[in-house]
Amino acid sequence: MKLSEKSNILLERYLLAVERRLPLQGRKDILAEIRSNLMDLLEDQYPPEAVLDEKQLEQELRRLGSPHTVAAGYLQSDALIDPRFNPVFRFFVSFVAPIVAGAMLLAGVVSSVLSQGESPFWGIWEMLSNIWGAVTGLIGTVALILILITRFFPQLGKGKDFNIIKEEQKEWSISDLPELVEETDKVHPWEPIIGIFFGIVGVLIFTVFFEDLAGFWWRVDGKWNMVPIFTTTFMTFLPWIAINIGLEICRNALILFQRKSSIMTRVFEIVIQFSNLFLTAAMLKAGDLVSFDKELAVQRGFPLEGINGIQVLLNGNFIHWFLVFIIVVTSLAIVGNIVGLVRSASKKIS
Amino acid sequence: MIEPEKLSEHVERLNAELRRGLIVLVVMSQLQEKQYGYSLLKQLEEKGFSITQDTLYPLMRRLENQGYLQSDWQLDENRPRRYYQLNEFGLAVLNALRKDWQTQLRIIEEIVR
Repeated sequence: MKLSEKSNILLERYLLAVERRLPLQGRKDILAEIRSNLMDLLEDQYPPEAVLDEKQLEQELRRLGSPHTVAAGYLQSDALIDPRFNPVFRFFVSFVAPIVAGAMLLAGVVSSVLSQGESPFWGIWEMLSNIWGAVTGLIGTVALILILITRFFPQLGKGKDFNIIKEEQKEWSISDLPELVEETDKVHPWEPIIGIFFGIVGVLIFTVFFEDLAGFWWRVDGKWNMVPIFTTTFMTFLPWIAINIGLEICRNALILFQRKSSIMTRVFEIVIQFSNLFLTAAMLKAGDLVSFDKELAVQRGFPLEGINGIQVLLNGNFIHWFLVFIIVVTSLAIVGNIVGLVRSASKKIS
Repeated sequence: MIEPEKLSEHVERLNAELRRGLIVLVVMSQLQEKQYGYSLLKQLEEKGFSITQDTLYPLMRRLENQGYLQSDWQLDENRPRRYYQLNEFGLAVLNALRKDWQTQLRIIEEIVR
């Protein structure tokens, strides 16, 4: 059996298409074998004196399958990332990425403190977007590298143990298994995570950025201007507020660690609510918490109708009644939580 | 009333699944002697166990990568061919598989009867 000139070109083009889809490692060898097997097939199908034309060869190649199908058999799997790299990828997603995010958050807070909170709003926004960029960049880069290794160097590290997280392979015991969680104690992981996130933002606002952020903002000639409204009396409460938010972060971290609400987290919540209640009561007794500097507002280009509106709002004892409302709501929440705690404790005892 | 076409389509699919699990054992059993890809394909076809080229050829390479086969290029009638054969380890694995297969066959026959 011989190939005509045109069918020879067709064969080479087909093999080239297969070659381009083969792994880089061992590509030439695999291709030589595919060629050899194909020639065996053709010799078996046609008598020795036959000259195969383009149409006949095309028919045989179609029977063999597309270049993609032929090459696919020599790839380790259809997966973009070879499953044996899963532990490596999981290690980067579950351990390295959170560490990078945490380190960047810490670095952002420290740099904000050192820079005296210049442009605080954009500082927070920039820090969060930097963290997002770094984490997605890291995960994406690792994924890309593993995809390229899977596609082009499937034999790389063959036989090596990629199980970086040895903890997952250790022998397990009954005590390692999680306790069953009562329906009322169940917590979705995103709940404490959101709590921790907003808690951190809250602590940053009430400690680092408060003086630069807290006030009435107005856009004048395309530029944002602010007039502070909180008095020094209010400022004295800032550490207490920050501590309460910090305690709330700790409570959420505990819930996240336990993956459920427990008697401990409920007691913790009641303690925080009592602290909030006393804080609000102290604020109510403390006197003027807000004041509005009309002259400064005019100086900074605030419109007169806006200034009058703010003054009406502040003169109407709005803050006083707002704090009373907070006290009532917090008291009711404490009562509700104590009842829930007693019920939960009595159920566990029985 | 079950449509015969639908029935045969399902039986074909499930049969293919059954055979897929046996391909390794079948191929290894035929590689106690040196074979090149196409010769093995024809041999299996003659014995009634048809297998597609895009399944068999990559499988032989995979078995070699896993350490069960050895291979070398030889010139036959001025054309290079890659010959595969079970190595010592592959032979031991095949014997163990064969033993397991006999046991499983007896059990399955008993269950499916």
